[in-house]
Amino acid sequence: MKTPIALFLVFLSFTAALAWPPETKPFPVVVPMEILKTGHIVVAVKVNDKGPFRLVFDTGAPITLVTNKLAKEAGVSNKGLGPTPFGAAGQAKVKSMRVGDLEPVEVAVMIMDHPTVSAMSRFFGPIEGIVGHSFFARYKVTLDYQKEKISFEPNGFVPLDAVQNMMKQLLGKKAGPGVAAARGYWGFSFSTEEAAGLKIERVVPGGPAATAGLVKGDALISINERWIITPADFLHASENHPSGKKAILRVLRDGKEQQIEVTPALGL
Amino acid sequence: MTILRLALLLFFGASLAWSVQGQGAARRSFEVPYRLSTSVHLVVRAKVEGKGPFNLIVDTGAPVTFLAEEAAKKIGLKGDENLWCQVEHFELEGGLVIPKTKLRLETPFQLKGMNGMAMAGMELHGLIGYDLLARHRIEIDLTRDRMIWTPLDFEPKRPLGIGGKGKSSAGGLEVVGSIMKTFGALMGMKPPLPPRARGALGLELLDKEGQLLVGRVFPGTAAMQSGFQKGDILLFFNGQKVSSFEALRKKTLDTSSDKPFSVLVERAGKKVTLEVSWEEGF
Repeated sequence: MKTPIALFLVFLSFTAALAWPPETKPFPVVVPMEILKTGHIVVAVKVNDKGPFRLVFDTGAPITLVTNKLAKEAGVSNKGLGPTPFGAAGQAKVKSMRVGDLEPVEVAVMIMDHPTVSAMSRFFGPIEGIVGHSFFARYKVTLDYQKEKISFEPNGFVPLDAVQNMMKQLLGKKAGPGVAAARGYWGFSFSTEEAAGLKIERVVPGGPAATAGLVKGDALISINERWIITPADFLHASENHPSGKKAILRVLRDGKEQQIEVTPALGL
Repeated sequence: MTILRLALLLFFGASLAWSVQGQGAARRSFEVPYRLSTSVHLVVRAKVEGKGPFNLIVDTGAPVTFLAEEAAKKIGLKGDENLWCQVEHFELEGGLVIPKTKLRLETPFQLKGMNGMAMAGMELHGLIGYDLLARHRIEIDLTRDRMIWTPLDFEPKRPLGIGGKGKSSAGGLEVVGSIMKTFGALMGMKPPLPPRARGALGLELLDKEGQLLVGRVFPGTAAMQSGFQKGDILLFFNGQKVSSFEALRKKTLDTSSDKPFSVLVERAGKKVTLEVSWEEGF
């Protein structure tokens, strides 16, 4: 009885998705997480409808990796880069990879017999790879080690290519540092001396900071619980804070912490 | 390219042993800001014993939590003979305090390699692994700039190590770390400098049906000196047509901090060109 109902639900949501794509809210898919004695998380993954295979779920892995054995069984072919260290056979595209009842997705993988994966397989049974950023980035992922469950909910994020990113960084180096600016106008400036935190040097009369009660000499501690230690921290926090929205600042004034709410204005 | 790709796999299974005690904190969720490094690692900032902050990778592939030797030295932490150190106060940005936790004071070879080649675009100081992660429910959504961490009333089992003490489980991958470090040093690779602040004008704007109007000009600011007036309609900024505030803001990032630029405004039916320079501030 369960299966037909599940099937029916899948069909229902599928048709709904076809009819009103923007309104359909994808639902989270919850799957068991197996926790190995080493503390690693293992999830069951289907590759090209083969499997499920046991793969390690690794938020520290930028790429997804499959063993040569999995590649062979699931028909994942590489571009033939010739022999590389650690049996790494280069990059490949997996046509369909999925966890639980998620829609299958195409994922860039690397085919390689990672020595740690091989070692783990010897202790804990066959493990055929590592699920990294190139797969999990497209989901809101919730890890619950206590319930031993992971949930996945599609979030529309397109995974980034770490290698491309790094090449860009290497090539873009000569261009010098980038320029950043707050998303709104705050109406103050910092002292250039950075002895005791970021001290406010000037508060523009009538500006958002002045209206909120910020005064010269206040040392910024945090904005919306983001630590402000360097000017770059303030730039990053204010870049992420839209104008017209209240920000909670913690400042040190006369040795006491104070909380001040500033609403940056639309402006420059 | 291949070495870069290989290097990306390094974080997996960083050295092994066990640790951890700690009390369950109150059940409240914390919004923990993170950054995605150039190498697409999830990096959070932590203060240890009130010092720092240190950049740590959230790594379910690491069994324990590592703090690089140099960072530990800066704080004055000393490990026992197995490199473990009990810390009283471990705080993640976003307000999450984890009392009494054990850190492994060791620089995993992966970090040496990554930092040596400046692969992450920032200096990395450690990894947060299973022992600390498992005490929380963690929500990761890359469309948001914060993760959500909820402390659980749960004591995870100590992770076991594969292989004996001092034995590697990375099967020779360590070599890649030191190759990268040497290579990076030879090439003079360093993380990029932090961005330069653009500056401010002292101008409040109103976005009215695709037109940007000057709402206020704050006294004593660059905007006032440049001659902006309330009601001016912004037409061109630095020779480019102004459409929306967000588009304007992007254009402002292409200006130089020490060279003036022009802004064309409409004032009482007439076109007026203003010469404008940034001043320090936000």
